[in-house]
Amino acid sequence: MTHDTFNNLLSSHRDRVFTQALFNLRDRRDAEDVTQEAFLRLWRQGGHLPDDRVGPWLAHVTRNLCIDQCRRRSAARRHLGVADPEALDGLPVPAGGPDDPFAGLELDDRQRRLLDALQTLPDETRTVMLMHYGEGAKLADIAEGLGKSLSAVKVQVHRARLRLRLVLGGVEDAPGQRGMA
Amino acid sequence: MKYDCEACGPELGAYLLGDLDDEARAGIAAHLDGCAACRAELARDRALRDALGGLPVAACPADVSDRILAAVADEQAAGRRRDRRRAGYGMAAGLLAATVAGLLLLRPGGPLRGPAAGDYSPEQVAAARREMIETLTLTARVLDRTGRHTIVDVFSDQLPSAVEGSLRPLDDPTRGG
Repeated sequence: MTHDTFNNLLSSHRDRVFTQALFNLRDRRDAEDVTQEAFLRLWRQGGHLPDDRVGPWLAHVTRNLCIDQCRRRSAARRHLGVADPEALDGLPVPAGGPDDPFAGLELDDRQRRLLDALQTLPDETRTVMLMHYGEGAKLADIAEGLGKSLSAVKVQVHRARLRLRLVLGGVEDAPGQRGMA
Repeated sequence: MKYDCEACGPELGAYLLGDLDDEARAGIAAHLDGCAACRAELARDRALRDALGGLPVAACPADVSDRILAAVADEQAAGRRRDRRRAGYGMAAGLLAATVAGLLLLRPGGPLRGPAAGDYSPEQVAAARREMIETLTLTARVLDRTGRHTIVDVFSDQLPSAVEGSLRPLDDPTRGG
């Protein structure tokens, strides 16, 4: 792959990759690291992908890197003696504060509430929901990435939906969003 | 398969995203036809999908792009160094093999015995030795300056002594090994 080709791919996909990592990890520094690693892997991959496959390939790699990062966080918390590592995931981050991972994003109230609701989910569950609903990833692929059974991931998604509904209230029932598949 | 509300719930997300096999999709569709509660559930799922899919895109900080490009440049440079080192090791191995083969063939009593050190005057032997060392050293430096090989990196300043050592007669008591 030439430098020019790589530069073009970087310009075209970096925001999407960074956003995917940011929403999954809720931490700008982690999201930056994941973005860097995803593009380094693209470089090492050597330009064998057709242009229209680069986006899905990056999404897949970013997804797996986010899962790995979630695992590392949980392991680190266990190492520090945190009894329930997932309990920390749901701690709210004040909007507009110095630690707000979404600072600079133009969010309407509904989107802000949605992100706040996602924050109440454990890392892994949030990642699963964003992958499945936000990116359209198949549950079987997610289960494989997590090393879980398909039925376990289905139950995880179902519970998360019920929990999100409690937190979201009217977000899911926004005007014009009802209908059948 | 026949679906009731309890079995249908966990499958709705996959149904919405077309992530089910034909049999499961048909079973859920049949249940949805007759169940207003699950249809409402599906509508909420769709709203959730649209809301998550409609989140804005965050701008990747410029310094992240710089870091990526710098890391790529580092990997490229490391790759070039690795390639040169491999070429250097290959050349060094070839040189070493040729030297060993030559010494074995030309050793006193060997199959291609050359003149023994005693066949020439000490001055002639010393001049031939110097000439050979200078030729090898010069060749190695030229190759190294072209950037195509790293033979000097491999031998460093041991090259003259290594070559000189190999040129000593086998019965020389100062010869190593």
